[in-house]
Amino acid sequence: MVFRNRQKTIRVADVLHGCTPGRIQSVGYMQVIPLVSELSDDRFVSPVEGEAEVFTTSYGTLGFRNPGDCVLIVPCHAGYVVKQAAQDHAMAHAGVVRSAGQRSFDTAMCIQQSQGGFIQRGSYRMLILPYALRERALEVRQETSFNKLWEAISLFNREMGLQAAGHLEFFLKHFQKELDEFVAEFECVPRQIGAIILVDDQVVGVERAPSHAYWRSVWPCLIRECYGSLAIRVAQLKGERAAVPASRTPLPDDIGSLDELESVIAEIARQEDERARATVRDLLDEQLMLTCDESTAGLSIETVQPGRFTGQVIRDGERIVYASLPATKKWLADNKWQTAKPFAI
Amino acid sequence: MPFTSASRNRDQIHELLRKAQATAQRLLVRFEHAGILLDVSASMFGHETQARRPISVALALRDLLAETAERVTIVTNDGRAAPAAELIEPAGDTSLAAGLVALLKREPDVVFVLTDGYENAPAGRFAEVVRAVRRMGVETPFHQFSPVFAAEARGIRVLSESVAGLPVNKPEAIGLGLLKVLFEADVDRGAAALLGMVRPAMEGKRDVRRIEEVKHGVS
Repeated sequence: MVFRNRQKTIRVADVLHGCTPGRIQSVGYMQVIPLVSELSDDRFVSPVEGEAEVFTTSYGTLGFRNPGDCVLIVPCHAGYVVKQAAQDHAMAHAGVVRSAGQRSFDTAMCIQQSQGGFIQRGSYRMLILPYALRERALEVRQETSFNKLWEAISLFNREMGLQAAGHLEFFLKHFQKELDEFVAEFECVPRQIGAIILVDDQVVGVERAPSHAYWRSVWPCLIRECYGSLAIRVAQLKGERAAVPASRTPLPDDIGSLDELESVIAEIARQEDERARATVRDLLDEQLMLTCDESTAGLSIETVQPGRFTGQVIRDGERIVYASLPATKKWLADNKWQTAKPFAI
Repeated sequence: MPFTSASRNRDQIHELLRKAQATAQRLLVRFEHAGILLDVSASMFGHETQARRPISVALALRDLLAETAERVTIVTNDGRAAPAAELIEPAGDTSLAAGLVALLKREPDVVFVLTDGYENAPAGRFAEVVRAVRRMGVETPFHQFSPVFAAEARGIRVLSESVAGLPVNKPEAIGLGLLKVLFEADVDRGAAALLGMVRPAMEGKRDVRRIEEVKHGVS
């Protein structure tokens, strides 16, 4: 693919190519529209399914050894919080590691300010950075500075009501129960390879993986730390009990028989399904301006210029094999203002 | 036990059914028509450290409860009528509301909901349906049984505040829980079952093992 000035514009529809929306899942402030597809490209694995060896060799350098025959795609903003006396690290961008290859990324970030030590080679539980940190992480993706995310983590912790410090584990420990629940609440469905995530009735992210197996392996990290953290923040601001989201229709009170109840449930399910489809439809023409960051193993990693979405896309020629597109905070704030009720007295 | 092929596991299924029958006989609790709503969604796979434990406990409970009733209707959360003794791989989202209505149309005298309590398509719809059917005058007792690890025995996630939830660690040890259910469904039959349990002790033929098992039925 030829990039003119290393830039290219695509639409969200291109990211969703080959997918159809599944039944919307809705719990509290969060809704998830699964993206299901018959397309499943098993040439690529995540660090979780590929059992990648993870390690740090210096502060700010995160390494991956890919032991398998498939190309390893390290998800955008993958991170590792380890139990050993070593500094937790996260990626500032996505990464590609050739089959049976090893690669170190010196643009990685320390996410545990006052801890020394390097992560020993091994397999560890992966996370994806909380939504609130991802935009900043992407902005500094090309800087080689191990402490480049500390200030953002500190602000994030303070916003969440925790000690202001560059320690992501403070947040993870404090909200462990809530984060764990998101994993059980939002389930993978058969043939799922992606999702559109809504929080408080706004689309906050579009995610796509190369295959169902890849998706299954990264979904707990996305729903737990990345988007779950945002739902927790919204619950802090608006109260624990979410109002019924606009995507939901409550059952009417005047149902007289089981037959009627059965048909009402089916009709509401149909309406909710249509609403989910409309949500996807509204996104399709959204433009994404991509800048190519690098090419490895025939794959190009491209960064979305912040607009409605930020994030990264990985392509194999014209085929989009991976996309992680969190909505920008500015767009969400502007949209909330624009959709607020007009003044009336 | 792997869920690869039902035919391959036929002997094991037969053995599990035999165990369910034997355990049900010891319970001394009987229902006329039990409705079982079985959650087979992806979250019933459980945590990878004890993979498939929730679904295993739920399937064992299903078979046990089926043996306590003269007639049983089993419906899965995806709305499928399911026979007893079928091994099911958990998958998909959780919508239990339509399954509850489908069960109630068959007029069971009790409904057991076997679930981890995580409903998402959408969350709260089951509770809405419970309120709706109560407004209609349907009084069938509903009971939620949720598979738990021993350490989680408190604080299960209930689908509806008006549906009692019972944590289950070992399906073979739900004696008192079932007795309570029977009392709620039919006081006379509940009293008869209780009498059946304690009469041997009163008559000096006390089977300590059986009483102890029942006593520890509620986790």
